[in-house]
Amino acid sequence: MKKYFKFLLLSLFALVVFNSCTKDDPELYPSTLVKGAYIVNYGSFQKGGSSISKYDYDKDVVTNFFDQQQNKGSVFASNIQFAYKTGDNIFLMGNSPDQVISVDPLFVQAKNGVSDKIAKPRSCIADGKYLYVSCWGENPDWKLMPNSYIAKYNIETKVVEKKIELAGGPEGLEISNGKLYVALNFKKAVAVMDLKTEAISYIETPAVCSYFLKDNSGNLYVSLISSYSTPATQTGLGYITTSTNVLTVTPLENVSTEYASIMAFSKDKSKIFVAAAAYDANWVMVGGIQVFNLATRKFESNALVSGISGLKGLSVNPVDGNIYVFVSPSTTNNGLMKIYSEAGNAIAEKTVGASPTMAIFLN
Amino acid sequence: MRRFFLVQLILVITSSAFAQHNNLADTIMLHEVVTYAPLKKYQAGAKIEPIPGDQMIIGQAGSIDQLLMRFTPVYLKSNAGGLSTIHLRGTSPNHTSVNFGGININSLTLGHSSMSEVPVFLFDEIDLQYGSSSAINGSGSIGGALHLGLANNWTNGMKLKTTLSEGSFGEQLYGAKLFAGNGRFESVTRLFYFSLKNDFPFNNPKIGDVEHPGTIRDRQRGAAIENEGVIQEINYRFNEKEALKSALWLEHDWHEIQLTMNEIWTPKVPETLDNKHIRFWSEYENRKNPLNIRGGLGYVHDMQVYDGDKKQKIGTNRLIAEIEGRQDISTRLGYKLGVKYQYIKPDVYAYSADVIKQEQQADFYFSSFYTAWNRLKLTLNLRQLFVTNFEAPFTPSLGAEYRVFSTDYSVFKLNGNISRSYRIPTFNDRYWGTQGNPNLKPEDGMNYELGLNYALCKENIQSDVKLNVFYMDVKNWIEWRLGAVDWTAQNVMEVESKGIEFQSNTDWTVNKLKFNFRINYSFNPVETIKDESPTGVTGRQLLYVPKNIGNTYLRLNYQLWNVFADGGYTGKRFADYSGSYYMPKGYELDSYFLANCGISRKLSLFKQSVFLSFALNNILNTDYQNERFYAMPGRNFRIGLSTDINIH
Repeated sequence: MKKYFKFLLLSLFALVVFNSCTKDDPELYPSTLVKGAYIVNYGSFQKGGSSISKYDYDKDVVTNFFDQQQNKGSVFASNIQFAYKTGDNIFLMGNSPDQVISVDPLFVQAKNGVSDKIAKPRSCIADGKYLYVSCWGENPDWKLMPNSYIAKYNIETKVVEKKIELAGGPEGLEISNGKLYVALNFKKAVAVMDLKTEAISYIETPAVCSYFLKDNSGNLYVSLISSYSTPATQTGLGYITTSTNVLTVTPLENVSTEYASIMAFSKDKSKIFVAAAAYDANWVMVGGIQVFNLATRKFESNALVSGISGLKGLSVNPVDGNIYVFVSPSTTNNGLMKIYSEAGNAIAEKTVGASPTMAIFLN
Repeated sequence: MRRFFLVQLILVITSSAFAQHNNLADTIMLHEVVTYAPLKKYQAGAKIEPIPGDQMIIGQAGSIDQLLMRFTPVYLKSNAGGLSTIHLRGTSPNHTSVNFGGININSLTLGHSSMSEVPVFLFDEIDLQYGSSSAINGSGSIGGALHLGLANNWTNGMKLKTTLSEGSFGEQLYGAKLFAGNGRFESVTRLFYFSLKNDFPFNNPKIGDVEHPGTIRDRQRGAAIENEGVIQEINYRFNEKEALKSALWLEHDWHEIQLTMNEIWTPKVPETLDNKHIRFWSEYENRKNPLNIRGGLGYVHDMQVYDGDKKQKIGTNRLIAEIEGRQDISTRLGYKLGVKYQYIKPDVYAYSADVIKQEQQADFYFSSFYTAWNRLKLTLNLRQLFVTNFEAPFTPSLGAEYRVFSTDYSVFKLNGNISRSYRIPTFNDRYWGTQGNPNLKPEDGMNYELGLNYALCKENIQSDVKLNVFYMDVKNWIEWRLGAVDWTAQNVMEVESKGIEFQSNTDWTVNKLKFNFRINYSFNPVETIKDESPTGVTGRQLLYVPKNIGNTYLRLNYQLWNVFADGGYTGKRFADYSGSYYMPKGYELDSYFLANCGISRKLSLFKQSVFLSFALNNILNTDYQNERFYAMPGRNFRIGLSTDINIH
């Protein structure tokens, strides 16, 4: 009997030991290196899949699920719409649940996101201790967006101090000359808010807007798009002289209606790359990257890259000037990051997370 | 609508209370169900299974989604709120037509019906057809079809059936069916009201809570449901071979769009969906001459309002007319041919009147059967649809049923079916804002099926065992993908679905004990074999399609008592292909097993029948997700009272 008991004990011990050695899950090796390109993968709305992929362009290595690696395997509850770095904070705009998540430059999240007074956050920009967050509001009508607003978030106290009403579906944001410029995605206008008085005025546009780029003189380029809720006949790239708030438009058809990163400056800021479709030789509409020359203020006649289906956005590496083009026709599959030189030569293609939308570059 | 409904319900119940309980013979005999018999006649080799009456009674407090998930080997992607879509043989929800009379009730804008908005209580029989049947049912029947049947009772007298049930988490069902007639004229009124608060507790893993990681006990909010409906039938029988039947179905379904587990701790107010439907079908049938004539007229109004915003209405109006001639040249040979015309007018805020004002569709069809050597039955179906500004494929199907052997107590049959199927794209696919794609091709499928059927019928035991293997290939599968500028519907995939289905149904009588035992199992690998997207995934099981699904059901009847138990297993399902750190090849939802049981007793009060029932659902308190991030209820109960009253 005693012999059997010992055998049983030994068996149990062996079972425990071998079970402990079972390697069901890959181990986590959090990175301590910051430098790299961080790709925001939106995932599928309300269905998860959002993540950050890190691309170490020096070593040509992609680490998918980088955020989970840095946070003990924890996944984002939200779909990350937009990422923005200011100081030592990276702010992530999370959808469903709606929240503003703050992580450090290693993408470690120490505190829960802020959801109070944050409803459908889209984009953000910092001015001193405040982060201005464009929000579409609770239960939007997807037509006029009467309840959309700008949330004024105190970075130090981590509290939304104020909701500044702004109908029209605010999307991209930029600050110039003490004013907050807001691209309205459901109204043919750019809203201009004085940061001191918070008084709002409007610049009329021929189409709804999505994002801004600020040139070296503080003037703004704004993307003008035709959306299903607010169609427009004239789309393209607008230029706002911020001292006068006068808009001039360079037409370009079929500008991408995607979000987060549909245009970017070249490394030397001499060009703007814009995601826009055009007809190919067979009169088939194909996605591509059009080039706006800042010197001539015209679009080049040929696309830098064409024939891309499912183009989500693009970012430019400020170190080497390479263009990262994000491709993802579906929200439930892995996306692609296609890397091109500034001249449009294909360099590499990397698999990233689901629905990649943009990249931020950290050093 | 709700007030009208409640007044009607009270009137019906009150009338029964004051009714005299005289000796009325049970004049209601379920001798013909509208859908089933004619379907089998022209579809040899097709697998069409009725949901048994006892299971319909168990599921009558809910919607058809719960019924199918519990008692058939069919997967439905559903949450606890009001959204539930069928994936019959791994196909998409748009690939199952749902037929009521001559109407396919699927939304013409979305392409499918939410199965949680099809109430079981209103119908006498529900038949499930597995596999392609476009040659019979028209566009959309790639994976199969559901047939919602009303029995023609030809009531002589008055009869009232009422049902009342209360369940956990605020579930209520009130229903009544009033039959009145003189044997020639008949009026049948069916009413129901169903509501569910759905405030059930569940284990919330609180994903994203980095300050307090770990699972907590939480409570669902924002998942309430309120459905109500009425079907009014007016039927008149001129003689044994000539009748006019009409049914008007009004349905109002409202539900909150269930908040995910991740959202319930935020201040988010749930959005709502409000669906109103008017469905009318009237049919005249004349079988006096060798050439039988059947003609039908119908009207359908569908309207969906999102979150109470009436500017965002999505609706269609349809007029339907059908005429059919049918002749049995002999008992061995027969045919039917007909035409079905639809005039459709969309009313959708996102459609431009310049692009779509109306659409017309005309289906021409021919069906025939031939029986040879008393052993072999062959059927041929041909269909061609013509659509305004769209080209639909010619759709044939060929079926065969061969009796291999039969004895005094058993039959063994072999059957097979080859059918082409198609689906014309939905209105949204073609006309939604600037994203609609009028250049889409129809989805185009081929279905091959082989089945074995063994039936045993002895004095104390009857058993029916079926084994089916099938292969389906669907080209030009439509998905919404990001295109050159925006999201558009595109023909991007070719999907292959194959599998084995096993079903058995056994009745066994021992003295006064009657057993019924059923087993359903399906093994169904479904893969995309071609995807034209640069990131398309091929060679993997389709999202939200389990490879393995099965269930079993045991009912025991002893005199006036009925006891049942059922259990269902749903295998793992991919929720996405992008995955996570721990599931880099795609996020897989866990498999789960649900068990339920119940008991009912028939009583006789004042010579009328009263049924009391009690059911316990999810008795193992299984914690599971059918759709990722959507909580499902744990153990819950339902208590019911039904009456079957003869009046006058």
